[in-house]
Amino acid sequence: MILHAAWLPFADAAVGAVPAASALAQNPAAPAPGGRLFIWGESPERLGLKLRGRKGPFPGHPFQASATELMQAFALLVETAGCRENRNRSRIGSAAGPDAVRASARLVQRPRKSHALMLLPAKEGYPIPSPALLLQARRVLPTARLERWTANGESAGPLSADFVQVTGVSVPALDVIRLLTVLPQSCRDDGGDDPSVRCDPFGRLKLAATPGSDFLYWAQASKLALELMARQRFVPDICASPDDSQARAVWRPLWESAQDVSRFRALADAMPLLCRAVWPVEQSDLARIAPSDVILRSFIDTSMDETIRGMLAMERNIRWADSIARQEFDDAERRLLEMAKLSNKRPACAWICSLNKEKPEIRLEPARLDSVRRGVNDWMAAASLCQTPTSCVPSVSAASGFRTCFRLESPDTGADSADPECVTDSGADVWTLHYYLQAADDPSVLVPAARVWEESGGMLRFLGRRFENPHERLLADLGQAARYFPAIETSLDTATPESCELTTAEAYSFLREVSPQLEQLGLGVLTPPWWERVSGGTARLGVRLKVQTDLAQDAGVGQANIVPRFSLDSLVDYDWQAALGDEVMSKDEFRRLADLKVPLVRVRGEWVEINPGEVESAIAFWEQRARRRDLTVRDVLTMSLAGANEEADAGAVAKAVAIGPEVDRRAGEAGLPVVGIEMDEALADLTSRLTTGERVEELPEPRTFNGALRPYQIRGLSWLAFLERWGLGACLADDMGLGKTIQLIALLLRAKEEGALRAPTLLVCPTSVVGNWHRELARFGPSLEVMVHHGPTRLAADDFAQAAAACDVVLTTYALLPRDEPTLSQIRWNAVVLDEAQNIKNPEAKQSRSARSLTAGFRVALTGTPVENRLSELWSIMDFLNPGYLGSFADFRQRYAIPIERYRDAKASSRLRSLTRPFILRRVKTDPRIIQDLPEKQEAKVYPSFTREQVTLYEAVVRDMLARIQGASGMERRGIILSTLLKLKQVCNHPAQFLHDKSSLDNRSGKLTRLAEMLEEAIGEGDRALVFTQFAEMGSMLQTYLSRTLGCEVSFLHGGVPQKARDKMVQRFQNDPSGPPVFILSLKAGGTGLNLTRASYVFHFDRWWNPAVENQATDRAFRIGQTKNVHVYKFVTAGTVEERIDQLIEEKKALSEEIIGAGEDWITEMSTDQLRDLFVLRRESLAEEEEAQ
Amino acid sequence: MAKKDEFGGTWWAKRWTSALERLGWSSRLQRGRTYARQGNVLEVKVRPGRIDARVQGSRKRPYRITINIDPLSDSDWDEAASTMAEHASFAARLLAGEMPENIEDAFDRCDTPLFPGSEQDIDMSCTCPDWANPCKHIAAVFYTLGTEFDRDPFLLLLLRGMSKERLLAALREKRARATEGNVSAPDIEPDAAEQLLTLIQEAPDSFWNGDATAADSVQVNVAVPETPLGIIHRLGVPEFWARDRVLSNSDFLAVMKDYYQTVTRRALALAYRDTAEGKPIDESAP
Repeated sequence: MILHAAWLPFADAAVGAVPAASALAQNPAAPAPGGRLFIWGESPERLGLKLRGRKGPFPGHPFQASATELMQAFALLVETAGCRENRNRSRIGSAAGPDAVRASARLVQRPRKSHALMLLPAKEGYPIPSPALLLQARRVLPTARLERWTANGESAGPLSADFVQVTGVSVPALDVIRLLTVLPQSCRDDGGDDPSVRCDPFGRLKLAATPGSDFLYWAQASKLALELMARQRFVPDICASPDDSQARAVWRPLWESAQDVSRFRALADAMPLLCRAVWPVEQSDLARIAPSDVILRSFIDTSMDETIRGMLAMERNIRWADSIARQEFDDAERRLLEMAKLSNKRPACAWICSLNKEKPEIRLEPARLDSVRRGVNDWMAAASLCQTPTSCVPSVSAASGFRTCFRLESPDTGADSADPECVTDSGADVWTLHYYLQAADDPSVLVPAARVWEESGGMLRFLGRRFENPHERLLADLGQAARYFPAIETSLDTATPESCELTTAEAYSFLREVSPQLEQLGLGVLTPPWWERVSGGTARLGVRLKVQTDLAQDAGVGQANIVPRFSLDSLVDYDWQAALGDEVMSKDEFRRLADLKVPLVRVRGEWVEINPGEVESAIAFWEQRARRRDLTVRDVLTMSLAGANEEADAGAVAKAVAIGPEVDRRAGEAGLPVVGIEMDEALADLTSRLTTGERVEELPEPRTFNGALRPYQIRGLSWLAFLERWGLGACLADDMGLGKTIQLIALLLRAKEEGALRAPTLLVCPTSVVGNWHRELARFGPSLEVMVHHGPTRLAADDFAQAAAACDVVLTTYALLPRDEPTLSQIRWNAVVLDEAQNIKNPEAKQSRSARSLTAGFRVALTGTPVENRLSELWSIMDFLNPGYLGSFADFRQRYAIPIERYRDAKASSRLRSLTRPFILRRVKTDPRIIQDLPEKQEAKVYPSFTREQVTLYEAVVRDMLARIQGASGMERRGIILSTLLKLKQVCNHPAQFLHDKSSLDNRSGKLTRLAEMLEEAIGEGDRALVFTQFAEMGSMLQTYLSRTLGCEVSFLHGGVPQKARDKMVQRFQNDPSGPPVFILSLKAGGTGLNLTRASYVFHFDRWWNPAVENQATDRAFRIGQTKNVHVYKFVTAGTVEERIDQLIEEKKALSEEIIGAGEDWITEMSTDQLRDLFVLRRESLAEEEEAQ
Repeated sequence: MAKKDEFGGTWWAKRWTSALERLGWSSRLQRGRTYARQGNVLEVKVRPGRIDARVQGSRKRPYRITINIDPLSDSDWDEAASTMAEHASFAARLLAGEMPENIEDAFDRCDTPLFPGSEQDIDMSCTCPDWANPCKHIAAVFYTLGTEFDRDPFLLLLLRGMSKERLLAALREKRARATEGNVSAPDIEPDAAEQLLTLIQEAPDSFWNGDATAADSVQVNVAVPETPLGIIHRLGVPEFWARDRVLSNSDFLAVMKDYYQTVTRRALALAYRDTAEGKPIDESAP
C-alpha cells in the first residue's frame, strides 16, 4: 500500500464563519487553529483488478485501500513511533495514579474512519495511480495485469482532473506530531524488500504501507513544528472557538527569525498538490485548491497549539498524580491551584489556566473575556511580535536614518593584569553600558546620550549629519530595550539617562542573551573587543592530556617483524592539565575558577567565559579517573579522531533535558572539552596514520601469492596489515569486482610467510559463496591449508579443534555461527574474517551476536555495500571489528543514529564519519586512481553452492540416467545424455525450473540467491546490469524474483517480445534515468545486435559452453559507447557438471576449440565412465541447508 | 526585505502603487518614497472613501493629510458582490488574508474600477506649505498604504466603500440565495479542476511529490533555545495582569516560565526518543 496524507483545516477555520458582532472578532491574519490529518492509501492489489463502472457525481476511488487496511497500517505507524493505541478512549486522569498517567503519554487516539473529496489527475474517468503505487504494483503483480498503466501513465487518453470520494482515517494534530516525527528524514529513496528491515518497526511499516512523498512531507513539517516548540518560538493568545460561542486559550507560533521564515517558505513551496487537493465531503462549495502556505500554516498552527497544550496537560497530570501520592503540593502547583480558584472572578486566571488543558475553551461568557483579549493583543503589540510567516515585521527603528546603540565597557583592568598567575575574582566589578544614537548607514557615527539631551530643538546636528527628533527616538528605543534588559529600566528613572551600571553577571547576560535580541530589533550593540574571541571559542577553557603507552620501548614502530599487538582496551598512562586556548594553567588556578561563582572571569588579565559547574565537574571527572587509571587507547583514539568539539551534541543535550537537571552535569561528563592531546611517539604515529590513511607504508607482494596484485590492491593489503599490526579491526568495503577476496588472501599469505600465523583464521561467508572462497583460496594461495567447516560431515568438539590447529584457514558460514558456537569459540583465532559482512547488519540477530563473541587477535569485515549510510549496520560491523569503540547500541542511537536519521544532523554525521573513517577502506570503480589499474573488461567465475533440495534432485537425475544408459545405444543413448544434461542444468538453475511447478522461489537455489546478492550490490552502486539465460522459463522466474527482492523494475527480453516492444525496452534501459536497472535477456533473442552500453555488469546465469557465443552476448555491453569498465560474471555451480565442463573447456581450449565450438554434441560421444565422472556430484562442496530466516 | 518590495510585497499592494504611478505623478511620488522609508508617516486611518494621515515634516507639528477617493456606489458593490459570490474562491482567499488575483474581474461590470484610474477620482490636501499636489507628504502616505494593504487586503475594499464584515455577509447571503431549493450534488468549482490540470500538465511529478528534494533539505535542528525563556523576558507581565492588585506578577512569570520549560523539555524528549524495539518512551520521566 502507498500511504498518503492531506491536511484538512476545520471548515470554519479555513473558509470561516464570519464572527458577527462578537467581541471576539477574529483577526484574519491569525484564524483559530484547527484541523486534522486525513490519511488514505492506494492499494496495488486493487490496481490490478478490473475497474468497475463509476456512479454518482463523486464516485469512490477505484483502488484505494480499505478502512481496515488503513487501520492496520496506522497500528504499524503507532508501533514505529513507540506508542500505543488507546482503544477504550477513556481519559486517564490524575486520580489514576502516577504510573498510569506516565504510561498514558504513549497513548494515541484510535483514529476515526472518515471520507473526503479529492481532486486527482485522471484518465478516461478513472484516477491514475501515483508513480510510487505503480512501482510497488510491479513488484507484487504480474506484468500482464498492469498493462493498462505501463510506462509513466503514458496510456492513451487525455489527462483530466476529477473529483473522487476517498475513504481514510482522521488523525488529530497532537498525534500527528508524536507519530510522524520519528520517521527518518530521507526514507523515500531506498525502496526494496530487504528481509532484514522486518526486524525494525519502520521496516515493517514500509513493507505494509510505504509512505508516499506527500505523507513524508507532513513528517518534515511536523519536525519543524517540534523544533519551534523546543526553541520556545511560540506565545500564548486567546481567540474565539470555531463556532464562535466561546473563547478559547491558544498557543501560536512566532515567526521572527529570518531562518524560520525562510524554512517555512521553502517548505510551503515544496508541498505536493496532493497534500491539499482535498475537501470535506460535507463542504458544499469546492473552492480553489487552498494555497500551500495557508495549508502549511494551518497545519503548524494547529499542531503546535494542540501539542503544547497536550504536553502541558500531561505534565500537570503527572505532577498532580505524584502530589496526590505524596500528599503534598509544590509551589508551582499551588500557584496554579490558586489561579484556578480565582478563575470565576478573574477572567485572566481562567485564561492562563486554560493554556495547559487539552480542552482550551474558557467557560466564561465571551463578553467577560473582552478585557483579556484586548489585554493580550496590547501585550503582543507592545513587543511587536510577528505571528505570520508571510510578512515578517521589520525592526523598530530601521526605517529612520538612525538608531539607538548600546556600548558595553568592561571594568578597568589596570592593576590586576600585572600579575600573570592570578585568577581575578570579578564578582565585584562594575561594568558600564553607554547609550548613543548611531547613524544607520555609518556605524562609526555615534552621538553620546549626554549630547542628545543637550539639544533642545527637534533637530540635532553632529558631524555634519542631522538627527531628527533625537529625544523621542532615544527614549522610544530605550523603552523597547528595557523590556529585554531590566537594568536599563532602572536608569530610565533619571531625567537624562546616559548609561547604566552592571554587575559581572548582568554584563554576561547582556553579552550572551540580550544583545542578539536587541540586534534583531534593529538596535545597535557594541561589545568589548575581547568578546568576539571569547564567544567565538578561540579562548576556550579546556583540558589537555598527556598520554604515554608502554609500547614505545618494547615495540619499535618501524620494525615490521615485531608485532605490538594491543587492544583498544589497553590502558595508557596519562596526566591532565587545564588550558586556556594554547596556554597551560596550573591546577590550583583551575581550582580557583570553580570557586568563583561568576560566568566571566579574568585569567592573567584575559577575560574568559566559564561555567563554574563545568569546571567543578571536570576536576572531579579527571581526578576520579586518575585514581582509577582507566584511560584506554580507545578513549584516546575517540578523543583525537572525533575532534575536540564533543560537547555540542544534540543527542546528549536531549538526554540531559529529558532526565532532569540533576543528571545534566553527568551527561556532560567531563564538562569541558579536551582541547589537546599530547601523545608518545607510538600513539601519535598510530593516530596520524589512521587519520590521514594514505601514509601507510607499502608492502611488497607476498612471495607465495599465485597471481599479481594491482597497485590499489597492494595499498589495500598494506592498509590491512597496518591495522592488523595494531590489533585494530578493519572493514574493506571496495566495490564489487575490485578483488576484496585476493587482498585478503594476500594478507593471510604474508602472515604465513612471516611465521605469524600461530593460530588458524576463521573465515565466515554466506553459504552461496563457500565454493567460491574454496576455489579462490586454492588458486591464489595454494600454500594455505584450508578446512571447510560446512555440511553434515563437519567436525565437532575436539576433532574440530585438532583439525583446525593443523590448518591456516577454516571456512564456515553464517548459518553455522550460532549453531556451532561452542565448537567455534573454543579456539582463539588468529583472525576472524566476515565476508559479505552485511550479514550481521542487524545487531540483535543471533549470528551477529555469535560473530561478536568469537575471540580473535584481529578482525576483518569485507563488504561491497556502502556501510557508512546504514547506521545500525555500521554500528554492528564496527562493534564486531573494534568492540565498544562506538559505545553501546543504545548510546550510539542516541548520539548518532537518531539525530542523523531523523534530522540529518550534519554535526553528528561528520563526527561519526571521522570516528569510523580510519577503519573503513572503500574504493569505488569510478575512482580515477582505480580505473587506470583496471582492465576495461574483467571476467570472473562465480561458484554458487547447492541447496539440499538441489542435491537430492541432482543425484536422482544422475542415478536415473546411469540406470537407463546401460542398455541404450545410438540415437537413444544420445537422447538420454542430452536430456539429462538439460535436466541437470535446470536443477542447477532452480528446482522450480526443473519441476515446472511454479512453486516458491525463495532460498531454494544457491545460484539465484547469489545472483540477487550480487545484483543488489551492483545496482546499489548505481550501475545497471544484464543477465543472460538460455531458458525463457528461467528468465521470467528471474524477472519475478528479482523485481521483488531488489524492489526495482526488471525488464525481460525474449523471443516472444514483438519488435516494437523490444526497441522500447532497449531504449528505456539505455536512456531513461528511471528505467529498469536490471535487464534479463534470453541468449538467443538478445545475444546479438543490441547496444546496451548503459550496463557495466554482465551476468551469465547459465552456460552455453561456447565462449564465442558468450562473448558476443557480453559485447552487448562491452562495445563502442561504453565509458566504464565492464565486469563479467559467469555462474558455475560448484561440484556439478557445470563446473566439470567448465574445467574441461579451460583445459582443452587451445587444443580443440572446433570440437567444443560445436556445442554439446561432443559430450554424447563420451564413454559411460567418462560420463559418470562428468555428471556425478562432488560432495565436498555440498551445502548445509540455510537456517530459516 | 528586498528593496523594491519595501512598500508591500504582495501583488495587490504593488498593483496599488503602480496604479498611482501610472497617474503621471512619478517624480513627485518618488520623493514620498524616501519619506515613507524613513518612518515619517506617523498615522494612517482608512475609512470608506477617505484617508486621514499625519506625517512628520520639517516643522515640529506634523502635517495633516486628507485624501478622498470616491467610493463605489451601492449598486456597483452589489454587482461586484454578485460576481464574487459565484466563485467561493473569492471569499476563501480573502479570508486567508490574500487578494484573489482576479478580483478586478469582479468589478468589470461596475462603473468604477477597483483601483483608481484617473486623477479626477482622487482629491487630496495637506497642511504643508508646499504648493505641489500631491506633495511629498501625500506621496509618502500613498506608499505607506501599500504596506497597510499588504497586511490587510480588506483595507483596500474598505477604502472603496465596503467593510469586510459587510462584504462577507453579502457574499454569504448571495451564496445562500443561489443554492436555495437546489440540494443536488454540490457545485463543482470549475476553477479547482482547471487549476489542477494546468499545474499537473506543467509538472506532472509535482502533483505527487512536490519538490521532495527541497522539502528534504529543509534542515531541522530540535535544540534548546539560544536564549531560554527569552520570549517571556521580552513580553514581561501583561498590563491587565499587572494592574490587578490581587494577582501577583511573580506568579504570572513563574507559571509562564514553567510552561515554556516544560514544553522545551518534552519536545526534546519527544524529538530524540529511541523507539527501537523494547524501548520505553521516557518522555514522561520526572
